[in-house]
Amino acid sequence: MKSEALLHLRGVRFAWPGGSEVLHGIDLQLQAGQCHALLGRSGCGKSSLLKLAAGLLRPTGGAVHWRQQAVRGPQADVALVFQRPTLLDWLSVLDNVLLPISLHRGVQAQDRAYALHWLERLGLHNLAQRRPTQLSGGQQSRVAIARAWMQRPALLCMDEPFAALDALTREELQQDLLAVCAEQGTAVLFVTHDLHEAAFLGDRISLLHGGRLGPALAVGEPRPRGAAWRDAPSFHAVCAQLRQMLGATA
Amino acid sequence: MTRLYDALVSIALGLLLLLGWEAATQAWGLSALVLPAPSRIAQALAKGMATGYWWPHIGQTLLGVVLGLLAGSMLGFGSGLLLGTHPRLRRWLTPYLLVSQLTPKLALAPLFILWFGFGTLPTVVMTALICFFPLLENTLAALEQTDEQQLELLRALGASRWQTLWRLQVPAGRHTLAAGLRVALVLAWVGTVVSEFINASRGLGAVIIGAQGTMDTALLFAALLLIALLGTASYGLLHTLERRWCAPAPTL
Repeated sequence: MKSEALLHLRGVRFAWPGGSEVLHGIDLQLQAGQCHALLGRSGCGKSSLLKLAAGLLRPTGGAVHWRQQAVRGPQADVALVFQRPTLLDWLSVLDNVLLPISLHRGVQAQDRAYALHWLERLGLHNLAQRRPTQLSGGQQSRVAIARAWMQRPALLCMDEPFAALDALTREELQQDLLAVCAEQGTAVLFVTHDLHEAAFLGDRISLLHGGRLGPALAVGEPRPRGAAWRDAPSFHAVCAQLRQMLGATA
Repeated sequence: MTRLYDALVSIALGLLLLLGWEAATQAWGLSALVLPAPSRIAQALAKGMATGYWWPHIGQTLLGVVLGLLAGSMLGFGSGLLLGTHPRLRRWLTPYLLVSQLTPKLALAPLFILWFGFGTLPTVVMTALICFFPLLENTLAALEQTDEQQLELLRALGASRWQTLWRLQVPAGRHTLAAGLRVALVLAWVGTVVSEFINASRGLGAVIIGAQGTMDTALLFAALLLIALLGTASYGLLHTLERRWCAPAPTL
């Protein structure tokens, strides 16, 4: 069933204009509903790989296919979540969440209701009229995720979205993410340098090192995963395995 | 409480200065031709108010400032948007813009008399020319300052170039644009008053030149005082508008 991959990267190479190559032939397949974590140290080309998958960058070699079509630009049902929440501070929280809609057509009552549904789902329903600057870091991250859900994405591309948050908030958001993804059947490509995060979120985890992708580690734990799994021996086994893989790249 | 106290001290300092001035002119017997006492300036001001002498001059100067500021800042903003979104055009025009910016605009006033005659038009053109550059510069700066990641977000969401400009770059740069407008306002007063020195028979700048000619120094000071008051009021008005439209957050 390989041909049915939602996202398929074949021998993808990438170099910044005038720079040296940062990705040297990446092969990656992502099935609908699957969460693939890309684990790597800073500066290993993780973000470039994610932007290639999201259609923000064009590969200098190889091909990126989305639903069996070559990717030529950003796709409407691929949502990108950045490292920083990247909210527009002159808009209310609600208008920020509605941005994917309001850029393309007039906002209707049902769009507003859908946005409020997501704000409520992420625990922000009474903050809709606030400005982003009045929110905590964790709340801002949630707004960015609510905005991504407005696109009704089949794939979420996430670039260390929780890296700047405290550990407890980060764990909460990770659990929320898994729950909502399971509910929506959304695939996730998740970039992180945190092996616990990769272990908790990923169905498959690949190591990106020196512009090359290592073999994927499949994690058998069924989803959605609850907080209790973080204390289970099987979780620690995955973490240990990842640490070993990372250690081999040092 | 401290703020009220500070305001009172500030006012008291001003009054003290005026009293000292008044006393000095009396004690040293300074000629009113050189430095008129504040009481004489106030008399000149009040007399002009009573006879309605000031109104046409105030109206004329305000017309010059407002029209010049509007025309110049709109032109500067528009040119900034154009050059900011067309880097090649900007590279072509930059040397000429620089030369024209470094030419003292006020030195052009005699030329403007040849071209536009006397009265409102040359003053508005002069003021507009002076207001043009702060807006141009600050618009270019505002566009350059746009956050890379916000630009990437708009691109990922499929925004057009036009949408990126109006929905992201302009609102994101609003504080820089407002700062440009504030500078332009201050310069607009300079441009209008100096232009009126040279080419007008009406307006507060023309009053100053006329008062100098008749050696009515109290009238000259009164005109200066009016310019200072109106300038400050216009700055306050702009600041209020800016705070209303550029507020980073509403008070909740």
